[in-house]
Amino acid sequence: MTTTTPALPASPAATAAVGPLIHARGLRKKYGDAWAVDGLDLDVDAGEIVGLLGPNGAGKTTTLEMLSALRRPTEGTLAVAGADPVTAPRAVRTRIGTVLQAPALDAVDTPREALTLQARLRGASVADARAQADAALERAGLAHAADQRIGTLSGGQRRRVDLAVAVVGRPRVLILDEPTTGLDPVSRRALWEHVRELAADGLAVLVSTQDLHEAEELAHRLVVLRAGRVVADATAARLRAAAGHRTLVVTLADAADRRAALRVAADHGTPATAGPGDDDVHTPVLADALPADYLAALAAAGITVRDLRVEAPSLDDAVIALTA
Amino acid sequence: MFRGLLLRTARTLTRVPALVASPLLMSAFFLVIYSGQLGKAGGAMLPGGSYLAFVLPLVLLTTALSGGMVAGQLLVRDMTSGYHERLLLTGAGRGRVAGAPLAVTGVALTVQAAAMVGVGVALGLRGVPAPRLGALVVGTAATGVVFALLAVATAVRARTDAAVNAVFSALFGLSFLTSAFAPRDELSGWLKAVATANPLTYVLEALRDAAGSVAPNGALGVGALTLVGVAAVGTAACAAAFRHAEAAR
Repeated sequence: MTTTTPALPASPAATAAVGPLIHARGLRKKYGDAWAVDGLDLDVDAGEIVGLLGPNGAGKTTTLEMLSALRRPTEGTLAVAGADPVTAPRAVRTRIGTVLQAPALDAVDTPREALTLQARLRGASVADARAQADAALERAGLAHAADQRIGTLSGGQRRRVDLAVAVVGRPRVLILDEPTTGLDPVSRRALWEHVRELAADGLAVLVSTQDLHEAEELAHRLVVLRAGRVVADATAARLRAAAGHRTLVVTLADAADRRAALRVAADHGTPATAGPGDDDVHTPVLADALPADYLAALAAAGITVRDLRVEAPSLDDAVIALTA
Repeated sequence: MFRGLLLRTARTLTRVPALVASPLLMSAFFLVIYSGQLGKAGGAMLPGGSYLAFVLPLVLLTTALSGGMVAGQLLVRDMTSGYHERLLLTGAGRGRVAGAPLAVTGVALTVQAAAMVGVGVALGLRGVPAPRLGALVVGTAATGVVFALLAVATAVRARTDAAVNAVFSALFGLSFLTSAFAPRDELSGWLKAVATANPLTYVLEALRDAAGSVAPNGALGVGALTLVGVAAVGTAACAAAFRHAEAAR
């Protein structure tokens, strides 16, 4: 990534945006007898990044496809960037940028060619399209690879080209379907930074992801789906807080003491479980105070505690609790 | 918008030359074999005619069929990479996205047909005036574009190379159930009946008429009408495939 990034031409969304740029009410999609999406309500405003979470089959991809006018909803109302994907799909498609699950590029094209064509297909003149392509390449840190065949680029570079192709032509909404799958940590962070910059420019961003760390890093708000329905719509902090109790993690000096430590916990009525390591025991902190009696009983039994820490509920815990 | 798609498709064809070179090489091979194997015996049955001028239209027909399938293969290539969806996401429309490979295939076929005529001349094709050679080239390109509609419809409907190749295999086989190696009057029994019912026979005879070779009276007109009929079928197939693709959304 370059340290100075040329600004994108002003997006219409950066100026007067009336209402959310993504607005769905009662959205439903049926395949055969099964509802893939079953009554989804969703709003995403300009400048907002919303993460869409849920297990496989929860309806994330179907939702994104309906928003992109690639699938027709069975029921419900939907407006994307002010247009109805059902009655005006072409208008929607010219106002949104989409990054699909796998990079959707032609390996024999160069990034400059792919970006110029995209801009042209979104209505730019030849000269304007070239200028937009050059600006997008600079912003994506790909000016040096502008004329290399896409097939010769690394996975991270291809993803950046994919994102640049999605945003060339000044879309108002950006839809990302698991955009960092297969990327190394450096490329992933670079892509996150780019997405944040785009949101700061006024785009409404909806990102579907299985990576909860990514969701937490990127999104202002998270929408959790289960069986086609929204089961939570809140910030990551709120979801974690609602997940329930903290956990006391006791790390023993001698891993051989773990069985004894669990027996001590059982004798005291403390619900403890073996942790993922071979020397830790996890105990839920159900009250405001830590289980002091349990710790004292461990000492009395001659079990030495090497480390003690309290963990807040993770986003994993929260999402698992919501979608299990 | 369409110009951008055309340029991109043309660029792809130049960068994936196997799509064009492979059918061309196959056609050149068959022309060499036919003229070498059948030239003497075939020429004897034609009243003062050149067997090369008689068989070149068959090779041009198969060139048109194989070259026409490239339109479908280009679409499937984009579908496989996901780029087809990306193009649709721009609002370009299925018609334009499918139309670009069709148009570029027509240009490519013009070049391929000209090359095949050149091979014919190199093998000894004589006495065919330049305007007739030009008519052969144009006729081949038009035939290829018409049959490319079937390839496009198949690509949009089935989304696989195998399906598009199956269409070519069927048409290639049909091209031999025509007056492929002898005038229709020289055929007998079931083959004559099949050839008479086969629309490719009339396209072949029209190309022979354009080349000034042995052909029934009015073959050019009948062949042109046949192509119009195939074009209508191909267009209807494309429309049905587009409707199916939209309905499956």
